[in-house]
Amino acid sequence: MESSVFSGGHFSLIDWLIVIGYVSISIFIGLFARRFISGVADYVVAGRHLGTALSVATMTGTEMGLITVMYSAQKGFTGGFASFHIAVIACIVTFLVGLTGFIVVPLRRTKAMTIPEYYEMRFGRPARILGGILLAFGGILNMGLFLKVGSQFIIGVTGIDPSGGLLVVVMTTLIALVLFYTILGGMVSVVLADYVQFTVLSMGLLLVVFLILNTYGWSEMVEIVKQHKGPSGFDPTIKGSGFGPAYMSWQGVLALVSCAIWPTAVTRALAGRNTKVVKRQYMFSSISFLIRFLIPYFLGVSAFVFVMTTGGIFQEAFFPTGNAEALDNLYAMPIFLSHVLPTGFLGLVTAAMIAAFMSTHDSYLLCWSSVIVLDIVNPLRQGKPLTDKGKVFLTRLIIVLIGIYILLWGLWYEGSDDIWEYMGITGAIYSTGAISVLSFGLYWKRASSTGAILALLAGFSAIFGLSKIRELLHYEAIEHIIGFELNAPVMGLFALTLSILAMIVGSLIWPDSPKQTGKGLS
Amino acid sequence: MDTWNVFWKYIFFASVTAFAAMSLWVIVFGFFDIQRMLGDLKNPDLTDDTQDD
Repeated sequence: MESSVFSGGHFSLIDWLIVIGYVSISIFIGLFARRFISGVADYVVAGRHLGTALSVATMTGTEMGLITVMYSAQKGFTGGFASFHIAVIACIVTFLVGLTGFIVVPLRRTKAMTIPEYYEMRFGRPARILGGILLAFGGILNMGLFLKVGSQFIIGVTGIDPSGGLLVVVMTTLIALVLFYTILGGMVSVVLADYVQFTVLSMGLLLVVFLILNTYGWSEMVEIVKQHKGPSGFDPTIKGSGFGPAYMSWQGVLALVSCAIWPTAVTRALAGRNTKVVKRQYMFSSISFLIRFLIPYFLGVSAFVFVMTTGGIFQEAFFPTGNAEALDNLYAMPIFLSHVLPTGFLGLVTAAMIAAFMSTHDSYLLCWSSVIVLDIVNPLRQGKPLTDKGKVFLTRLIIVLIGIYILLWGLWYEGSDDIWEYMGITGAIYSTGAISVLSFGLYWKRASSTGAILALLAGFSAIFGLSKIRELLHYEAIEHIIGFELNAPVMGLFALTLSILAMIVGSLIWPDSPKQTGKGLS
Repeated sequence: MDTWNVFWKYIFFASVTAFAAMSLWVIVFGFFDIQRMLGDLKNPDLTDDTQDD
C-alpha cells in the first residue's frame, strides 16, 4: 500500500540534474569564501559587516529550514486553516521586537559575539559556562531530528524506496556538503550561501503557491476543509481545533524565542552593521517569520485537499479504515508535490527545499560549535585562552563532530509524531531560562548573578515537557487531581514562570556586591 | 466560520504579496550588500560604519 503511494510521482532525470547543479554552486561558495577569513570575528559574525537586505536574506534562509516547512505542513494537514494563527502571532511579535528593539538592540550594543558571552559581561563567568552548556545541550538536541525529517521529504518527493540504502547515501552526501562549506568559510560562506538559498527558496515557494491556487482555487480548498473538519478547521480558539488559549499563549512565547532569544536568529542581530540595521532587519523579517509558517501551512492544507479529493490509495494510507496503521502524515506534503507539480518544476522546488535544509544546517552547526568553543571550552581554560587560530580550528572540529552526531541520530532515531511540539520543548530547555536572564539582565539593574544561575537552572525544568519523560513519570495521576493536561505548552509556560520567579527572588535575596553591579550593561 | 475564512484569505494573499515584494528587494539590494561586505572584509579600516547610535 505505502510503496504505491510513494511511486507514480513526476520526479525525473531533469529534476535530479537541477538539484545537482544547485548543490555544485554551494561547493563553489565554500571555496570562494575561504579567502575572506582572517580571524574568529570574521568566522563567527562575518566581521559584523552585514547590511539590511543581506541580514534579512540570511535570517530568512536560516529560519525557513526544511524542518520548518515539514512540521508546518504537518500542522496545516492536521489543523487546517486554523493553524494560520501561529504565523500571524510570529509576525506580530517579530515586528514588535524590531519596532522597540526589545533585547536585540541593547544586546547588539554590547558587541558580544554569542549570548553566553553577554552572560559573562553581566553576570560573571559561571553564568556564561552554565548558559553555554544549556544552550548547546538544548540546541543540539533540538537539531537532532532535522536530518530525519529532511530525509522524509526526499523520500516523499523523489519516490526513493524508503527501505532501500540510497537514502543513507543522499543524506550523508547532503550533510557532508554542508560541513564542507561551513568549515571552510564560516559565517562568510553561510551568509553567501543563505543569499543564494533565499533567492531559490523564495522564488520556489511563490511559484508553488501560484500553481496550487491555479489547480484547486481557494474556494474549493475551503469547501473540502469545511466538509471534513467543520469550524475547527478555521477557528483556533475552539477546543476541537487542537489549539485553544494555552496553546496560543505558548506560541507567543515561542515567537519571542524564535526571533529574539534563539541564538541562530540573534547571531544575525549581533552580526548587523549597527543597531539601526538590526531594528530594520527585524521589521522586514517579520514578513519572513510570517511566511515561513504560512506557506507551509498552506501546503499542508493543500495536501489534505489532495488526499481527500483524490481518495483511493492516498486516503486509505493517511486515514485508514479498520485497524490498519496510518502512514506518517509528514509524508503528505512531499507526496502531494510530487503528484501535482510538473517535471522540471519539481526539480526547482526540490532544490529550493534542499536550499532550506542546508541554510538551516550551516547556521546551526556554526552557532552551536562557536558556543561550545567560545563559551564553554575557552572560559574553562583559565589563564590559557585559545589563540584566534586555535578557536577557528576547534570550531571547525566541533562542527564535524556535531555533523556526525546529526547523521547517526537522524538515521536511527524514531522521532515523535508531532515535530513542532518536540522542537518547542527541546528549545525551551535553553530558551525559557534565557528569556529571564536576557530581559532582566538588560532591563533590571538589580538582577544578580545568583538570580541568573537560578533562572537558567529553572528553565531546564522544561525538559519535563518531553513526551518520553511525561510517560516515564506517569503524569496521569497529577493531571487527574489538577483537572488539566500537563502537555508540552503547559510545561513550557510553567518552566518560563518558574525561571522568572527564580530570577526575581534570587536577585532580591542574593544581590551582587556594588562592585559587581557596576559592571552591568543596563 | 465564514468570518475566519475571510480573515485567513485576506491574511494569506496580503502576506504572499508582501513576501514577493520583499524578496525582490532583498535579492537586488542583498547583492550590493555582498559587494560591500566582501570589500569591508578585504579592507576593514576603510569603510567602517559599524558604530551604533
